[in-house]
Amino acid sequence: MLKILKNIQTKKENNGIYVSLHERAENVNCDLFERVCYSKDAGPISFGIPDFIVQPRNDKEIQDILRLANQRRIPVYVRGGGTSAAGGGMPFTDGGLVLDMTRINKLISIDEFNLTVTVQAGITWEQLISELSMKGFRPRFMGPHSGCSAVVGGSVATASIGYGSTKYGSIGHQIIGLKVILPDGSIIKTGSGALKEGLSFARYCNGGDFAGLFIGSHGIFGVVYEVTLSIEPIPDNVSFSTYVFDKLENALKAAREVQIKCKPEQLVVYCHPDTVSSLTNFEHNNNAGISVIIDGFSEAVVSSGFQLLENVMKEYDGKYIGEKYAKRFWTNRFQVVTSLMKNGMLLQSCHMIPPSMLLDAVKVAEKYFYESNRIKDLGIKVFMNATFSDGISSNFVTNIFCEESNMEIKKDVLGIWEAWMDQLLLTYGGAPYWLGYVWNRHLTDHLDNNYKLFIRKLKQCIDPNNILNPDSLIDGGSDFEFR
Amino acid sequence: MGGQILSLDSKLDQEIHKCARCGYCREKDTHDICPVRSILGFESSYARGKLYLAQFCLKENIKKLTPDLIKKFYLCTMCGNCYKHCPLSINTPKIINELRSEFLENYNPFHDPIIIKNLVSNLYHNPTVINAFIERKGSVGPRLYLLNKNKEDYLFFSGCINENNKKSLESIFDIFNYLDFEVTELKEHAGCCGMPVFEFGHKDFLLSKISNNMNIFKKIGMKKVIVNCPGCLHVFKEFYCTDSNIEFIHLTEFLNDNLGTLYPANGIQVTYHDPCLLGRYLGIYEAPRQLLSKMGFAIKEMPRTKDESFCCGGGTLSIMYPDISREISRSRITEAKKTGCSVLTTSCSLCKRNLAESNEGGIEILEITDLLASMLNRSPDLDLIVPLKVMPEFSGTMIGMED
Ligand SMILES: Cc1cc2nc3c(=O)[nH]c(=O)nc-3n(C[C@H](O)[C@H](O)[C@H](O)COP(=O)(O)OP(=O)(O)OC[C@H]3O[C@@H](n4cnc5c(N)ncnc54)[C@H](O)[C@@H]3O)c2cc1C
Ligand code: SF4
Ligand code: SF4
Repeated sequence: MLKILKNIQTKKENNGIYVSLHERAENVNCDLFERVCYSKDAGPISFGIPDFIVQPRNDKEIQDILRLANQRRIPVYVRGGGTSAAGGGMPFTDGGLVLDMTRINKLISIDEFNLTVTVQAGITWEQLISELSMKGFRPRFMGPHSGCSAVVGGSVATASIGYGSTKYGSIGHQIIGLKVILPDGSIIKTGSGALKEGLSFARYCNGGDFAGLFIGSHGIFGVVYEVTLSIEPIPDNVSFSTYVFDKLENALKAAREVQIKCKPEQLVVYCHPDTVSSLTNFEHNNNAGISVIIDGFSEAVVSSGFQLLENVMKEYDGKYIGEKYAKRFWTNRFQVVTSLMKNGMLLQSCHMIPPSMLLDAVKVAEKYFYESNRIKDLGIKVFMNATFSDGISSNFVTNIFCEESNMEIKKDVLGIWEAWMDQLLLTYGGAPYWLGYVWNRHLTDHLDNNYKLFIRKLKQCIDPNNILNPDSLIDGGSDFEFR
Repeated sequence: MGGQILSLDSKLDQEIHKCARCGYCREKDTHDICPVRSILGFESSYARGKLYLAQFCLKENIKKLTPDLIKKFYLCTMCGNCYKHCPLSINTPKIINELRSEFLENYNPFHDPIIIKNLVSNLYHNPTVINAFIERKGSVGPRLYLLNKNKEDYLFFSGCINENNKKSLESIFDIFNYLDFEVTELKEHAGCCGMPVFEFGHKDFLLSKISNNMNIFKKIGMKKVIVNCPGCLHVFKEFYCTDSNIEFIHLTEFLNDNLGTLYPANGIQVTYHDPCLLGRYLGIYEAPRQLLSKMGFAIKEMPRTKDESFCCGGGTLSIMYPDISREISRSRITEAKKTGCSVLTTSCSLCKRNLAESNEGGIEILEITDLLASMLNRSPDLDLIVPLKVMPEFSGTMIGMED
């Protein structure tokens, strides 16, 4: 019998819990087919079917739900836009409660002088950008490629990298303060927000960077409820440019130099001829490409930035192929990856590596993906690119696309994907910034024991009953049936 | 146990599995994309959840799972907004319709008292959409009218909504007369276009209607058929046209082509609701707007307009889940009121009806033809006389005067 059928009936003992939940929150659902819909994120794996879904409307409801969950030992899985592709925050086994945060989605305030915006965790990036732009502002970090449906809280929990990252780093770098509901239901604000006045204007104060605890930790320490992010006025001048290269090595060197000298808003390196041709539709065979976006408040600033860029590119034999590809990449920002999904199911393995190791990483990837006939036989497509982020690290992305409807192929490709996670951890020490089922099993063997112990102690201290996102804990995870 | 239960054709199966679960069918800027999600909120209410459930149906023995599962697929207005926003162009309403038809063929989903009451006892036995909305015996089906002016001939397919609402039909005839078209009722009776029952998933019913109606259209021999109901027009264009050279035209397109410059309504602002079937399905956005402009109205658009238009909550949903449908309508009316206009116009009798039923005042909901007829001063008892009030020397004869 398929696993899914085991959970068809709502368990009798759940009736009482349902009533208790309903006393605490308005929107509670235990309908089987509703629950089924929450057993999957944007990745290829179907997870456990939760017993309840709650769509809270305010912090009070979340507090009450968490207190009940502690009393009844109900695992609580926090969900944002559900676009995580790595099983973060998903129930590994049937049961538990999903807290769907998408209704807590208001922009609370914009501080135009101090340049911050405070939002509720369930607001989408697209909504945030749209509301800010009406006032002439934009967030410095503008969200992951999935920004039409990924929400700010989900990006905090996954330490997202995306638009604006080359200049401003990951979302983590742009967080000023968080309001978090801890597993026991108490509420804290981090940074300057911890003062009784509660204003979020500084992150590193009042005793430590506790916002950092909740960034990238996939909701294991608390439910992010409000986020204060830095913003900036939208610059009037932008230059878009794309260059192609015969040698990847040159492209990577040029990219690094451009990042340092020109301070571009965004810089992405296409690391393989297939990726260059797919993303730029540029006919000629080029081993690498770079798209650069430079913006500023005067034409002079932007054109001098562009001049610097040209000089660097010349030095490394980069050939200018126009502005349209970079422009498309920038202006259609949330459609870039989704438009590639016509190639089939998307298996992502985004991870951090230092720019100095990118060349080796691409070589490993090329060997792994392209020198294997099996991969060719399966007809999969692989896109490789790297976003230079925050000056220190880069986000190396290998997106694998495969045909979705053939179960056999799907299984094989999943195996390839899984093995790839090990390869990149083993061979060159890439560090995943997403966690969840897909990564955790590979990561756990590579992590230092003291570090694991430290995380477990922290978890034990903050969430003694282990109710919040229990399966996202780094060394959690067991063998899982692929459906 | 398990195995493929539904016998969907392989293309549809592939389409269902194409969904990448990106969630782009959920929200757009500050709004919900899916009208049903805007009320119910949870994952199964919009396309991503429904497609996952469709995958689930294909994999599991859904016999055990009816009717709760089936209900999820009837919680959809077929508005097509998810399709519009899907980066992979997955036609979710089409998939839902195919699934409905599978359900009807394989299982009996009529466990739901609302369906039994509204669909089976009314609509199914006397298939006019009007019967589905009000329990009224003796409503009549659509009729055919010949429009003739000099050597120009058209056929007008009245549709059941207009045919059962004397006032609105008279308004339309007044406009035809004003344009010097002679209107003659034909003795041949057309049947239901098939759309309302088709939307429930009865493909066969539609197919039977097609052959009946096509035979009649062919017998009459008219090459141009004017249709007011976007639902009828959609099925005519999508399913009837394939083997004929009959041109089906929406009434607003016809009027826009035939009316000259009109007496200006002094730039009074009205807002316009794009019916999903006329807009997203058929791409007719400009004709109704141009017609309103010719009448002298200034259109103040709602934030969600044209291909981004938000559904009125009508269609199958309003029959099966009237409460949810009303809430959707109310939110659309609120959006219209926020434009500051006192009139919400549309070009679909069903949208008008659906919106009007949820209207708690503060705005008038009218079809463009109502407005035009009232400008022509031929429907004096129509509530909206706004343009007339502000146009003291209004006279019907001034319309299109220079022609
Ligand atoms: C097409 C596509 C493109 C993508 N591009 C990028 C990209 O460019 N960069 C990138 O980083 N990622 C990318 N992703 C992955 C994913 O979209 C991001 O990680 C995104 O930030 C997740 O947000 P979400 O709202 O969907 O969160 P979910 O997927 O719902 O949740 C992700 C994690 O966050 C936790 N969580 C959610 N909300 C809260 C909360 N309020 N409090 C505590 N924990 C919470 C969940 O428990 C889970 O562990 C992409 C995915 C897709 C499908
Ligand atoms: S937008 Fe399309 S691909 Fe994305 S979740 Fe919705 S139906 Fe699936
Ligand atoms: S067709 Fe409309 S109602 Fe149906 S799922 Fe799509 S957006 Fe929702």
